Amino acid sequence: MVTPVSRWAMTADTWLLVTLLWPLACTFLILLFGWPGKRRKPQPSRWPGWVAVGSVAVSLAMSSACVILRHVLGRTLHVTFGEWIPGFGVTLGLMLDGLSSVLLLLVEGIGLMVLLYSIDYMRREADQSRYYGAMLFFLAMMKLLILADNYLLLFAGWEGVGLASYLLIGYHFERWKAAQAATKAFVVNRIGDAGMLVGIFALYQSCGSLSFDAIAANASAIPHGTALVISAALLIGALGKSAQIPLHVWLPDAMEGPTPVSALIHSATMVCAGVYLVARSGVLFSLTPEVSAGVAILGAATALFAASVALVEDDIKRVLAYSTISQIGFMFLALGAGAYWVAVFHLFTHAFFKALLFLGAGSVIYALRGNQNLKEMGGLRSKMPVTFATMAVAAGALAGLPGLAGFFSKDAVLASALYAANGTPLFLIGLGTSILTACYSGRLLFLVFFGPSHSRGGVVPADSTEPRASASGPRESPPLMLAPMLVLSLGCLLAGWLFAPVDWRAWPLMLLSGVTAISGVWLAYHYYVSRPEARAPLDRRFAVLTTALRNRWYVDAVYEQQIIDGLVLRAAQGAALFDTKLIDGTVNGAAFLTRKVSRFSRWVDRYVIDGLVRFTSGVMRAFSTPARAMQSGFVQTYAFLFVAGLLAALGYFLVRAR
Amino acid sequence: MAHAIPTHYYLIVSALLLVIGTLGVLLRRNIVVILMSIELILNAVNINLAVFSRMYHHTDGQVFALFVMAVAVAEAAVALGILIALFRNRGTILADEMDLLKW
Repeated sequence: MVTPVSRWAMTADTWLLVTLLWPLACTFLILLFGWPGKRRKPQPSRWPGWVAVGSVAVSLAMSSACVILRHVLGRTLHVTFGEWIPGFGVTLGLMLDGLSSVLLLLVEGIGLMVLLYSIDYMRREADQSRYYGAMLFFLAMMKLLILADNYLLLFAGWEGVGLASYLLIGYHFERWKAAQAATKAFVVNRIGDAGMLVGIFALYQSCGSLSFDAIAANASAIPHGTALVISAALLIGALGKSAQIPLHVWLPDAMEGPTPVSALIHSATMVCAGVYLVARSGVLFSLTPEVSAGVAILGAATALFAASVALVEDDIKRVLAYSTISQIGFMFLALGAGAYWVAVFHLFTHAFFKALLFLGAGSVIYALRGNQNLKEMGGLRSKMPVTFATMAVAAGALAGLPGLAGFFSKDAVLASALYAANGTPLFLIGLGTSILTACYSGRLLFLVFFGPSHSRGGVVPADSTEPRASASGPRESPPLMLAPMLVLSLGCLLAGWLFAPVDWRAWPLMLLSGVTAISGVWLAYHYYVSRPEARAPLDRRFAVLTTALRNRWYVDAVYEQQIIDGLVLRAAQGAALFDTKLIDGTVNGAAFLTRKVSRFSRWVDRYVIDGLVRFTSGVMRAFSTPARAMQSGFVQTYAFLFVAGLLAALGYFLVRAR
Repeated sequence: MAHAIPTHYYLIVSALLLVIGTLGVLLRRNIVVILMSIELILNAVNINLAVFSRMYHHTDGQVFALFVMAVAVAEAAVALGILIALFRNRGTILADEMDLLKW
């Protein structure tokens, strides 16, 4: 019996495919019509931005329709539209369940806000279509990643996100640092991807399928050793994408991209992919408590490490970058504790305030003509009231002030750590990190908006191509940039209440985390607003620590020296040696041999083959020369020969007759 | 017929004509003269035909001489025609400036 509802249900499943293909088609459209051609220099034009905003708005509407349908039907939407490799058992399918619903709406919503913001922020950029094309592609690939119903399709989206992030981080590829940062992000992600591929191979080996459903059904049959390998390998992939220790180094450098790109990468896309992967593979991770413990420890360590670095960074975007790493560390802590929904909840709230923080930072940078140094900011509260208000909400949410988004999710993370087996040390680390988090959020806000103005007015880094404001000092950004910020600040205020499984019985913990947040902010207020002069003695007393922090715990330096200059250089030298000696040697030897052979062949050609031909023709010529001489063409010569022949014949007969 | 001129006198004249004609054909440059020399050769033949006809009292030779004359006339006409065409094309009637017969 085909009821209208079930007919709707069938179309709902195929709608998933449409929502995926729509942004891809728009990407294609923007890139096709915005292509500047080979010779023409691209001109700033506004249509790609509006097309992108429109297409994401439509996409958001379609995704919302799907999510609502899923809710109404009360089942997982699932569509299979093809087989990837016949006989291999990997089908192309999309799936929408609770987890992907949350992320889908989040990606589209944040993406829409960021794109809307970009229209004014990026309006001076010449190559608009490349920017918006890459952004849309980014969102489309993120959707593919979220909606995929098997690991291989997820991996395709995973790689697409990596590619898009590479393109966007390196948007200003004419700047050496941006190109370097893009390459760094790409290479570090490759390391994680290699791990993930190993995990996928091992999964296929042991389960014979890659679809989430089949794996969830067969997971308990996987031998423990194999399960360890699989989840460890998948974890490596997640670490790379989500910028966790030890693969976190690419994210701070990714700040070279335009600020809206950072907002997108740091909030709802890219870095969330790792969290999503672990949450999606929850079945596997719960089979291997060892790896789960590793996830939790790595997450806690990353959270603490990155928060401490964020405390001393002077670049406004880098502070936020380390803050992202730290917050993702919190999510990993929850994942490791087995509280997958808590991790996703924190991911959800974090997306709002981190996107807003980046957009606010972009607004500040826009007003200061590309200056990103916190030490040169200050006193912007009265000049940029809307930016200040929205950023204050976001920073409060990040700090975990009671009532704001971050408070509920962070509290839930801490609770999950506390209730996990042997989780008390991790809980304490998390609590400590909360203080640091509140402290650096406060520091960021106070340095930018409070105190005296340190703006040197017109100091523009020589290599900066950020949009510049007019010369009359910093002022509020245009409304098209403020509108998305206002929407997001609403999200920061409400997101926590929307999903919070608030357990009021846990009020001691909530009280504790509220107190830590407030005390952290108070610390920042004390040292940066009320008594800034108290900072200097503190700096002196902990000189060793602050130096280490300023050098990001020397992780980048160690990587640079040990891995880039040591291992990679050594490997490159080996490869170069191999190249010059063996490969070039083979090539050169082959060339030498070829030269010799061809020289011999030329000799044979010239003297044997040509010689034979010339000999034949020479013989013919030698015989024909007298005959040719007879044929002069003169009538009288012929007549002479005639007569001579006649006389000779006559003479012959006369002699014979005698 | 005692006063008749002996046959070999004629043959000597005829031989002289033949030699003169042949040398003319071989040595003169002007094609008109060459044609005239050819006529000399033909006349030498005609004399021979006529003389032997008288000697053997047989008329075949004389008839044949008449044929030779007719053919000679035709030949001269054709040759002069060719000659005029040649002169129009090449602007000369000298035999040693024409070497087309080798093609």
